[in-house]
Amino acid sequence: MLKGKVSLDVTNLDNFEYDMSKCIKCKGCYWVDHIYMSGMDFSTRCPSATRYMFDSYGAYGKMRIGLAMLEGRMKYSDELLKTLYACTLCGACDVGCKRNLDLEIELSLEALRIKAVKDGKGPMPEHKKAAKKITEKHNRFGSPHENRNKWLTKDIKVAAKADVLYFVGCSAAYVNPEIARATAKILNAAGTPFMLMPDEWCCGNMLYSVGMIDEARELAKRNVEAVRKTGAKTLLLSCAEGYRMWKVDYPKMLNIATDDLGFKVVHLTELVDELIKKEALKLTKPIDLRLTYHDSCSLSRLSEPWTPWKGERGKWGMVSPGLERRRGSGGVYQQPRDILKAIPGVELVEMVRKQENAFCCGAGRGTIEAFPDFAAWAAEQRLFEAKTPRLSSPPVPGARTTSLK
Amino acid sequence: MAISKEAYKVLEAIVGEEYISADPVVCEGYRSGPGGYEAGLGYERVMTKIPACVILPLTTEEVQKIVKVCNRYKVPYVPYSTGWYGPRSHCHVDDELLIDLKRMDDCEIDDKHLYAVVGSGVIYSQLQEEAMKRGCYIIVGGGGSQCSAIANMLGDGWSPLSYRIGLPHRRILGTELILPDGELVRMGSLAVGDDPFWGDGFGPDLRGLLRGFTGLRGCLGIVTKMAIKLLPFQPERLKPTGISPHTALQLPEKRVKWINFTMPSKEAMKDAMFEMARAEIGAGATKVPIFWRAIAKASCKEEYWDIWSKAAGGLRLRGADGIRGAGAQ
Repeated sequence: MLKGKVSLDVTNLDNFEYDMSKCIKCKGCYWVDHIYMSGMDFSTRCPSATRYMFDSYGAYGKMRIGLAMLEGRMKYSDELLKTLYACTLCGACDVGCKRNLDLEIELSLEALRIKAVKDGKGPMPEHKKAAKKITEKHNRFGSPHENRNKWLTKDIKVAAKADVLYFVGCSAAYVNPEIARATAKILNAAGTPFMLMPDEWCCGNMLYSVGMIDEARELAKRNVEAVRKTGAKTLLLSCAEGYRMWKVDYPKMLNIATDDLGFKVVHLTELVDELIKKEALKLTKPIDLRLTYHDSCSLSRLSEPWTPWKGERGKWGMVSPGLERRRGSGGVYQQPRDILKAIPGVELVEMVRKQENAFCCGAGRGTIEAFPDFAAWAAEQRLFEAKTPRLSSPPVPGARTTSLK
Repeated sequence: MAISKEAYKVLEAIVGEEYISADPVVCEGYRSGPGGYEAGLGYERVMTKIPACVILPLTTEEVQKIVKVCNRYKVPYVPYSTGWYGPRSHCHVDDELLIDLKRMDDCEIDDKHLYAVVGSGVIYSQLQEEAMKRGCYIIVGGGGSQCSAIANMLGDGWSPLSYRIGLPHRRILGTELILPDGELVRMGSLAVGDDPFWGDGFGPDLRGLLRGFTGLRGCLGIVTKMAIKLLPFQPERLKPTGISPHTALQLPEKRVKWINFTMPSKEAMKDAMFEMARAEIGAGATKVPIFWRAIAKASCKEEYWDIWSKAAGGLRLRGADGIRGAGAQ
C-alpha cells in the first residue's frame, strides 16, 4: 500500500509496496556504512550483489523485481528464483537502508519468498528435500530423531527441572555436537542448572527463511507451547539462527511481541557475559591466542525483539501510530567481545567489517542448501578478511560449517 | 531479446557469458526509480525504460569494443556507474544496452604527487578512505559518498568546500574517454605518456568534451579512467564511532570543530566569512536550511516532521532574516 492501512504482516506483499517502490539506488544496502568504509577492499556488505554483480541481486534490484511481481509484470523463471533465493537474508541491506531511508527491506525479501511459495513456485528443490526431512524426522539433516540427544556425555549434568531450558537446535545436536557439549559444560561450571526439551524438534529456521510460512508457523506453535509447558523462565540457545527464530520470527509468525512469549530468549554469549561479570564464571587459564570475532547476522543485526504493528500510511510515507523500526542497533555485539577480552592472554583483533557492517558467512537461511557454491564463496571472502590462521569459533554452527569447508 | 542474437553473441565474446544478460529479471533490476530532483514528478515512470540487455565490462578496451559493436549493430547504449541520480542514469529508449561500469574499480594513488587514478566503479567513500590512509583527502560533493567519483566529477559535484579548493572540473587531471564511435581519447598528460598527473597537457584542452553541450550530464562519451587531484589533510585520523544509524566520524578535537551558528543578517554572515578566511581558520562556512537540524536530530521521518513543525513555528516567530550557518574550523 502506498497509502492507507498497512501492517508488518509478511504474508501479504501489499504491505511492502511502499518500501519496494521508494528505493533511490543510493545502495546503502550494498556498501558498508560510509563512516566505516575501509577503502577499496572489503567495502561491500551484500554477499549476493558482490558475488553476482548484476543490480538484480542487490536489494535495489530485488525491490524493483518485487514490485513487478506484486503488479503481475514478472513471470516466474529460474533466474527469478535464483534472484530470490541466492541471498543470505542476512539483514545487511535492511540495516544499511535504515541508515538512510527506513524502508523495510528484510521484511519485503521475506514476503517475496512467502509469495513465491504461495504461488507454487518456491522454494528451491533442495529446500523441499530438507523440509521433508524436518517433517519426517524433526531435523533438517534427516538424521534419526532418537539421536537428538546423542551429543550428551556422562559428565554433563542435566536437571529434570530448571529455570533455564537449553534448546540445542539441529546443527549442534547432529552435526556440531562439540558446541552442545561445550555449552552444557559452561553451564555446569557456572553452577547454572539447565534442562532440555522433553522432545526437541527443529526450530524451523530454514522453513521460515525460504518462505514456507505455514509449516514454520505450525512448528512455532508446537515449540512455544512445549516450552511454556516446561515452566522455563529462560530459553537458552547456542545457535544464532535459532536465537533469531525464537526471539524474532516466532513472535512475528504468531502475531505477538517477543515479550509475550512467556519466557525470555537468551543467547549463550549473553548469559556467559553476564556470568563472567557476576564472577560466577572465572576465566583464569591464560591462552596465548590472537583471534578475531565474526558477528553472525542472526545474533547481531537481525536479533532485535519483534513487536507487531499495524496502522495507516499517509502523506510522504509517514505512518501512524509511530513505528519503532528495527535497525539492528540493539543486536548482540558487545557481549561476545567482552567474553573474549576476559580470557587472559587473548588478543582480540577486529575484522574490517564488523558489527552491523559484518559480511555474512553465507551459510544461513537456506543458502547453503540450495547454493552451496555461493555459500562457500561468501565464507572464503570472510576468511580472507580475517587474515589470521586461528579464528575463534563463530557462534553460529552454519558459519562454522561453511568456514571449515 | 530485443538486441539481435548476433549482436548479443559478439558482446558476449567481449566480456564473457557471466557478465552479460538479457534476462527480463536482470533487466528489471535496472529499472529506474524515484531519485534526484525529479523524484515524485513521475519522470521515471513516463520517460525511462528498462534495458534490453546489461553488460559489465572490466577494462577500457572492453568498453571500446562494446561501443564499436553498438555502432555496428545500431544498438543504443547508456553508461551506468552506480545508478544514483535517479532516472538520468537509466535507459530512455527501447532496446537499449546498459553498460554497467561497476567492475571498473581500479584505484591507484600517487601520494607523492597527490592524485588518484580511478575507474568508473569507484565511489567517493572508497576513494576518500584510501586518500586519508595516505594523509590526503578529496572533496565529496553534495551527491554523497555513494557517488561514482568520476560521474560526480563530470557532474561538477558541488561542496561547501569548493570555494576553498576549487570546483571539481579543475581537479580533473589525465582522463580516458571513449567517443561515440569507439575511438579512445587520452586527455591531459595521458596524450603523450602514461602519467596522468597533468590535466591541461600539451596543445588544446579537450576537457570540454566532459561537459559537452549541456554541461551537467553532457559528457560526449564514456569516461573509463580519470586522474583526480587530491589535497593534503591534517595528520590526525578521523575515528569512526557508533552503531548504525547513529554513526559518525570523531573529529580531532584540537584541529577540527564543527560549529553551528546563527547570524543576524546576510551582511553579517558575509563579513564573518571574510574574517574567517583572513584568519585562515575556516575550511568551510555555508548557509544551511534550518530543517537540516531537524533531519540530524530525528530518528525517523515521523519524528522529523514533528521536530520540524515545531521548529518552523519558532522560525516564523523569529522573523525571516535570520541566517543560519554551519562551519568547520
